[in-house]
Order: sequence, then C-alpha cells, then structure tokens
Amino acid sequence: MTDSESEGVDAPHDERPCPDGGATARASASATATETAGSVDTVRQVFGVARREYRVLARARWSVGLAALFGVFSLAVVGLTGTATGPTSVGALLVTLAELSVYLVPLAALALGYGTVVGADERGTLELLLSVPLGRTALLVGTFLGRAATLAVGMTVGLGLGAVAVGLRFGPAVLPAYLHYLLTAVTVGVAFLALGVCISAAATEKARALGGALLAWVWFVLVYDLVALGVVVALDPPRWLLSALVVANPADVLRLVVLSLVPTSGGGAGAVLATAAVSTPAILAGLAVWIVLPLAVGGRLLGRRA
Amino acid sequence: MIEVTDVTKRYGGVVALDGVSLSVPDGASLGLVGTNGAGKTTLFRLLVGHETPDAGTVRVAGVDPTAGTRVRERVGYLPEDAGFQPALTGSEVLGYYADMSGVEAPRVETLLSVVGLEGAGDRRVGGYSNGMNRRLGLATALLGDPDVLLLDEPTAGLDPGGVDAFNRVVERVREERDVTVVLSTHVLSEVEALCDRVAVLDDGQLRTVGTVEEVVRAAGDAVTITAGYADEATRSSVTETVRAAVPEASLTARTTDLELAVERDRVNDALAAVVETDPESVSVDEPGLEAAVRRTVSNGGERA
Repeated sequence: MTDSESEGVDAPHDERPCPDGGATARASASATATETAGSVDTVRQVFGVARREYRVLARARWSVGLAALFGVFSLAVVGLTGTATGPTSVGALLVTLAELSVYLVPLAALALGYGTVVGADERGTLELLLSVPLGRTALLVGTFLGRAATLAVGMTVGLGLGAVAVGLRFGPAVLPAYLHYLLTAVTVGVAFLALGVCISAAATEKARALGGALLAWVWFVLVYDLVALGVVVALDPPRWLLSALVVANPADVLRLVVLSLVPTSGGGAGAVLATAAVSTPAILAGLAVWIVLPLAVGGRLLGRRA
Repeated sequence: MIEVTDVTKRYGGVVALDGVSLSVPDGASLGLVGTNGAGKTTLFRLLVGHETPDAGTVRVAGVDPTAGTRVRERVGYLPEDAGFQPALTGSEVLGYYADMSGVEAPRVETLLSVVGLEGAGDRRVGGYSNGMNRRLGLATALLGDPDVLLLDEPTAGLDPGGVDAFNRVVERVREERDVTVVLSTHVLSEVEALCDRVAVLDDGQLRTVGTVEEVVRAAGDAVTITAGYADEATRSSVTETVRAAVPEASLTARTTDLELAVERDRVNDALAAVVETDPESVSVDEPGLEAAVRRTVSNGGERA
C-alpha cells in the first residue's frame, strides 16, 4: 500500500510528445478531456461502490432493522407522552427523544461502521476490490456513502413513524420542530458512522474494531459530558470554549439543537449546553468536520493498510 | 512481460522475499511452487501493486505496479482468499466488478459462460460451491481482458473434478488469447499441464527457475524413498543404520520421516535397508517435478 495509490482517482497521464505549439495545444486539450473523463470515471466508480454497498446492506436487512429500531423507539416515546412515566408536553417529548437518541444513534451508527474496512479485509473482498482499477479513496468514500444512505433511510423511516404519531397527537404545528430533530439526528448518525469507518480502517481485526467502536461510544456518550462539566466547573471557561466543547462532540450537537428548539430549564449538562448558544453555521461546520475528518484519516489508514 | 529484479520484501523482522529476480515473457506461463510461507503470495501482492518492495524493482507490462491504478487495467488477479458478498448473485458480483473496470454488460454474460456459470448467474454467491466461487473469481480476473493473469492458488480446496474444470478454463483462455499467466499451486501436475516454466520459492528465496524438464534435470535423476516411523525417536535411532547400509544415499530427516535420494541402480538395496528398520510406511517417488521440488526446497527438513 502506498500513498501513490491514491493517484488511482486521478486522470491517467497523457504521454504523447508535443513537438510544436499546435501539437502542444492539441495534447493539452486532450489532457483536459482525459482529466474530465477521469473525474467522471471516479464519480461513476464512487456511486457504483455506494450502490453495491447499499444493496448488500439492504439484503442483509440493515435498513429494515434500523427502521424497526428507530420506529419502535420513537413510537414508544410518543406513546408515553402525557402518561405518569412519560414526557408531559411537546417540548419535553422532543427533549426526551434527543436525550435517548444520544445513546441510540451513535450506537447504531458505530455498529454499522466498525466492520466496513476490516470486515472486507478479513473476508478477502478488499484484496479483490483493490485489484481492479479503483482508487482507494473512491472505494472508501463510495462504501461510506452506501452505508450512510442505509443509515439515513433506516432512521428516516423509523423516526418518520414517530413524526406521523406526533402529527396525529399534537397537530401539524409541531412537525417542523420534530423534523428538525430528525434531520439533526440523521446527520449526527452519519458523523458517528464516519468515525466507525475510520476505526475500521485503523483496526487489524474485526474484534479490535468492535472494541474501538465501543470505547468511542463510551467516551462520546458517557464520559465526555462528565469531563466537559468538570472543565466548566473548574475553569469557568469563556463562551467560545464552551461552544468548542459542544461542537467537539456530535452527540452534544444533537442535544444542543433540540434544546434550542424548545424552552426548557434544568441542570447538569443540559443547562451547560443551553448556555453555549452555538450558531447554526458553527454547528453545521462542526458536523461537516466530524464527517470529513474521520474519512480523510480513514483514507490515509487504508492507504497504509498492507 | 513481467520483470522482477533483485526484490526484497520484509514484514518487520521476517524476510518474505530475499533478492528474488525472475522474468516472464509476454504470452508465457510460469508456475510458482514452494511450501506455505515461501513468499508466493507476497510476490503476487507485489505484482499487483498491493505491496511496495523494500529493495529491487517490479515491472508488469512495463508499468510500476505501485504507480497508481494503471497496472490494474492490464492485470487480472485472483487472490487466494477472494471473498465475494454472499448476498449478491453471481451476475451482480461480476457486473459490479465490470462497472469498476469499465467493461460492457454483454461481456459479463459471455464470461459467465466461459467459466461455466451460465446457469448460475442469478443465484446468490452464498449458495455457490467452492469450485463455483473460484470460477467466478477467474471470471472477475478476466473482466478487463487482461494481458497478465495472476492466479494465487486458484484450485486450493477444490475436488479433482473442480480442479479439472478450472484448469480447462485457464487452458482455453490461454489458447484463445496471448495472455501471460503466473500461477501458484501445490498441485505440481497443474504446473506440468498449464505452465511453460516453473519457479521454486523456498524461505523467500528463488531456488530455481526454468522449464519443467530443466528443473527436474537440475535436481538430478535420483529416486526418492520416504520411510515413515512411529515417532521421531524411532526415526532418529534408525538413521545411522540406513546410512551405514546405503552410504551413497543422500538422507533428509523430517520429524518422523526419513527421505533417501539414491541413484536408480541402488534403489533395491536402499529399499531393503529401509524395510530392515521396520518403518510404518514406505513410498518411492520416481524422478519428476514432485521429487525435484522436494529436493530443491530445504524448508521443513535437515540433512541427516
């Protein structure tokens, strides 16, 4: 595995001699055309890989399983609203959904992502895939897109069932806030999927990738907020640092977005998040970094994988 | 044309290939043989560009395999453990790899027919037999109409019928196209049937390379007698007895086995001496590629 392998996604070189200006111009035009064709080929390959990945996962019932999981989850929370043990209002419903999603979404996304590279390697698929004229970057991005589509479809269908229930129970006025939550949950899921793919590219065995994914879940979902709270209590940080602490954890982004949708009061991490007031562009940029950065690191790791 | 020049490849402290040089002309076929861990798969991975040599150079069809993906447009590769997604059908698998290689759909159907899977294209690969999987792998390797075909132990785990079916396809491909083939295998009859030349790798080093006749001749025309004993101690205790009875024989000890290489006119005397030691089994290998390779590789045995 070499770094030069990433040249596979670049256009082939035009090696024809250009003895005069006219020939140079023709060769230059030809090179441009070849580069364009190369880019088109790369895009075609990326979507080809994504389509195959989506098809394989669909046959393995991943989409259906994810839809069922998130469907049962959202319907259960909506169904419990107004009961003795459930949320008491629409605002409380959304906060409850977000709080529970913080556990469920990263877990589902990491479960979908941790076997991506190391699983293909153990099965022998990776060896064969890398023997066709397919760049490693194209392979990784295509595989990620296929898995992201699986996750997005499963979550949207599942949480969409909850949207129907919310609409029936509280009226259509609540739906924009719910859809805002749904969109954020899917995006945060995709960010955790990218992290899972990166862990998979780093792992030498599938069991180690699973361990890495579980550690990541424990850190981002269970430990991170405790550490962040400790920092807040000990340092009384400025608002920008508070914002940075929120954006540094995609799970907290989900909490923050939902808290910004409803007027709530409370203590703990929620109260800290409520004061962070991160701008929407900063949230979007943070999530984009959480998707792009793990993929870029994963691409480098795949390039070094022997 | 494949050119491997003084190539060394290490994995940590393990030297997988040590100064290996060989060349395969266009349209020729080379059989790579040797024990497990001899460096065959490492050589394939270097040829397809999955590994970079620590020293030396590799050129396949005039291209450095590690320079981008260009070499993969010229090479068809069937790895030892090619894993297909069991949820996809044979046609889908082939169609997918065809798409990646820029191959038209009609060729997919043709190739399924070439490898004898024309009736199984709509079945999921998870239900394929081992032999069908290997033939699907061969079809995948042939997709890009390659100039070079690299087959890493393609018939491992197949029954004799499966081996014959696979080899018939390779023979047909060689007859129809001027393709260069490098094939690794433990089945030496396969090398004799399919390959013009044979290279013997042992412990990362190229011990010999040439036509089958040349390799056999180089190893000498001695007959190999292998005697198997109940345990290593018994084998050890009889070694000197056999040596004294047949002093001109070349003896190699392999745990419970003792191998004697003797000239043809001394076979009866050697056999008599061996039988005197009451072995549990005795086999006699006439001079041939099998015996030549055994004598060429030193791995697993030591001079007794």
